Amino acid sequence: MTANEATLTSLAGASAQGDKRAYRDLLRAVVPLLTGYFSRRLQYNSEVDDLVQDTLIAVHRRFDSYDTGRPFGPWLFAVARHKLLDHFRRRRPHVPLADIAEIAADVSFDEATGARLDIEAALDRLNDKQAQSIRLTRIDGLTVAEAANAQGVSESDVKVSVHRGLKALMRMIEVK
Amino acid sequence: MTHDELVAQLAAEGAIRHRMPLRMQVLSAATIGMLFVLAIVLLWGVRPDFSAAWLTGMFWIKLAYGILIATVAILACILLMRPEANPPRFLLLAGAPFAALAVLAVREWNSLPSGAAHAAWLGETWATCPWTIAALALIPMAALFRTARRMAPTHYGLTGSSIGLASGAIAAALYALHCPESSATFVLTWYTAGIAISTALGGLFARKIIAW
Repeated sequence: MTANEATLTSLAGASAQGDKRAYRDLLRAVVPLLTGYFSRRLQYNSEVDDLVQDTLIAVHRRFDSYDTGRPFGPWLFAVARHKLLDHFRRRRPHVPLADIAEIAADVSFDEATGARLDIEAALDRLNDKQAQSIRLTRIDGLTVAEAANAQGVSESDVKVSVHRGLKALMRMIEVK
Repeated sequence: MTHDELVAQLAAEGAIRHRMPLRMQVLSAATIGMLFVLAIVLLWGVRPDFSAAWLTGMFWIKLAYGILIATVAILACILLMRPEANPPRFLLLAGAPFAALAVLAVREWNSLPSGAAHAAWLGETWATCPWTIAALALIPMAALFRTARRMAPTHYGLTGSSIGLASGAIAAALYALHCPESSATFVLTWYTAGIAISTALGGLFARKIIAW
């Protein structure tokens, strides 16, 4: 059961007012959202778990930066994306950060969960490598070099995966 | 530790929340910095010809130069404290006061014989002015960086530069109370240099100070 944007935003607002129960419910609701987000972008479960917890801690420590007048989703996933990019950067410290393209931050919550589930459903029908390559380069906006580094494969490998994956996706849509 | 255990631990601590909303935290940091700079400038004393100078247009232009740039920069800072913020295009508006002052400076330069124009451009204090402004700027910079460390900026360089820009502009505006120069070419060159130094410092040290 996915919490919707409005629920989370109101929980976050209540938490900001000092409602401890609302805060606990908020954090509990956030865990599966973060788990889904990171599972689709990382290879290993241990990585996913680490990042979920790192992000939870960041959500807790940086909660003051959430503006209660705004939706909670974009804030949450911006924190998650920040931790994800940090994770990729730390794996190969000499990759120049300037190469990491920042995706448009105005990812609405619906885009991040609801509407994006359509894309995710389609991507889930591709093989893991193709799906992940497309997510990293087209959705998260990483360069081919960064995606290659993140997956531990060559750049041409990523390009081929993306190309084949997109072709397969298009075939799926045509068939529908 | 399982996710549930971590959630329980964090929930027990409760949400970490300042009394003031984000924008008020930034504004109050800028204001505190401004008040300290003002105190120092008043300690040095206002310019000796103050009672005549404040009636001139150039005096207010000097003040407005810093105030307008600072306003744009502080608004950018407020935006950039949030993790989901995109680099704001409106930051380019900080160049508008420079462009306007440049027009005045060109007019002034052309209206004077070359010796006088040159002398006006350097004034008495060209060598110390930028460094004084940059030094004064360190105070609001410290306050703003302190706030940033509690927030979640995701564009480190840009956030640091905006903090430096805001701080330099605040310092420049207040320095104008003390500074005896009245030439547009002087302000355009040396006040801007001070603001630029402050901006660069903020950008250079941003990652070290605010990375999270």
